[in-house]
Amino acid sequence: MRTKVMVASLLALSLAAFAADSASSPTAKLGAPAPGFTLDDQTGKPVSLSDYSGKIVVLGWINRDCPFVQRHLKANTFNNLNAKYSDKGVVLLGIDSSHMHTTEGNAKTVKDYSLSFPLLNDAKGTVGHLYNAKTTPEMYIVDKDGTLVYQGAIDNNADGDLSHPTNYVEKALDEMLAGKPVSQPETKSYGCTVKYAR
Amino acid sequence: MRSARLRCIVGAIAILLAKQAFAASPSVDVKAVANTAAIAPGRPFQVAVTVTPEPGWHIYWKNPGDTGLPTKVKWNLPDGFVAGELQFPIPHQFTMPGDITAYGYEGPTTFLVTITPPKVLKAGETITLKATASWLCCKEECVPGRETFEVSLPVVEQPVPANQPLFQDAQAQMPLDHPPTALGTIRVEISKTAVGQAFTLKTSAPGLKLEMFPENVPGLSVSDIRSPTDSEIQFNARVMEGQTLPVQELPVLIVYRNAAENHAAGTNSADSRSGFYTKISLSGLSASDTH
Repeated sequence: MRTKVMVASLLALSLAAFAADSASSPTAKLGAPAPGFTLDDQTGKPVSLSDYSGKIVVLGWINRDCPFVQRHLKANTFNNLNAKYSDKGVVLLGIDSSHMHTTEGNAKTVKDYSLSFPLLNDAKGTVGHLYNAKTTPEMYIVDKDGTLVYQGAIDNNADGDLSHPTNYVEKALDEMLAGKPVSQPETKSYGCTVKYAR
Repeated sequence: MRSARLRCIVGAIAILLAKQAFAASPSVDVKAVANTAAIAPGRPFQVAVTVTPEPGWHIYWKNPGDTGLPTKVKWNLPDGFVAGELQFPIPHQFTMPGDITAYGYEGPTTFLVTITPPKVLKAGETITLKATASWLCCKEECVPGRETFEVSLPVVEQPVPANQPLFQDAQAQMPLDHPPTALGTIRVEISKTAVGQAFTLKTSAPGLKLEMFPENVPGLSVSDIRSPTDSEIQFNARVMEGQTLPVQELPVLIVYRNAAENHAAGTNSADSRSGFYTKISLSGLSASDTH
């Protein structure tokens, strides 16, 4: 991921940078097909992205230990999102890439916060790295055709002190459901570091 | 009688209030003192806010990096008092598993702020400056915290300096707001990439090791900051999809030190680094690469 280039000249620099950017990579990229994956949900049942082809899929990186996630869990941000869009062909999948978390632990998280959507175990961090997820929460939207159309923050309320925050995911979903392109496909996510294994 | 009593007030008094409690939260100590024992009408003075996270934990710079939250101090001042911007000392870079970069501080970290009193104040009066410091403190996990504190100072005709060693140390950790001559010229080379631009910063001064900390520009993604040699910094920048840049320049903090010196990453002790703020033009990015 980290590209080290020795620069002999400006030309070499621009060529090297071009090569680094255009190198074919399996990781998620806006406007490109979202990488497929299969992970166990909180009951141990395998769930694949391809199970939902033809639907809009929202991926949300979650770690119950993170205070930013806790704030959204307590405010029912994810459950409300799911309730608002589940009958409109939208599927919400939670993903936990924390290296120390287990499927059993995820079952407890789902129970403790009455989550209305599956929480997938990515303790190895494979899918997190595939999507380059850096924070919890961090959100992705895959459209009906399997193209990644949004990545970034859940809203513009990093400090948690806005009374009327803009929920970027809902905004994007509303645009998609109205047949419009997503006006803000990329935002800077905020939160805790995803706790990948060292 | 009154002036004798005033003289008894040496330095500023920091009262720590409303300590927010979290289960298993790291202890974070907050202390605030002024550089004057008493204030005079219209004469600006400084307040040092020292935030000390528990060993092994860190708090964040004004741009926290990929994750985290900036450390903040919000003032609640009497009428006519104005607080300047919070000044952050030179930060350190922390790299977490997954190539996640954070900018911040371990150990006692002193932030400075300049406060300007109104032109008219009654001598003998005591002024109480109230503030709330807030932070995100992280190690393996992250815990947000906040603490409200007060600094009380009497009003006099002529201010009396106080806490000078602390302020000298704090000032030494602050970046300059212009490039120092010792650094020679910094050359910036810009080239186009598939999605944005690649920047190379080079110093002509020999024997220096450079670091760069970018400030946060909404809608701009700065990535892959690297040092191919001690005297060079490279990074990529691009405008995020669907975003437009609110500014034409990227403010960055350039930090330098003697390349021969050993440097214990992440500690503030015996920090021999210097730094300065400068701006890098983004005009090539905003002109052609927005969608």
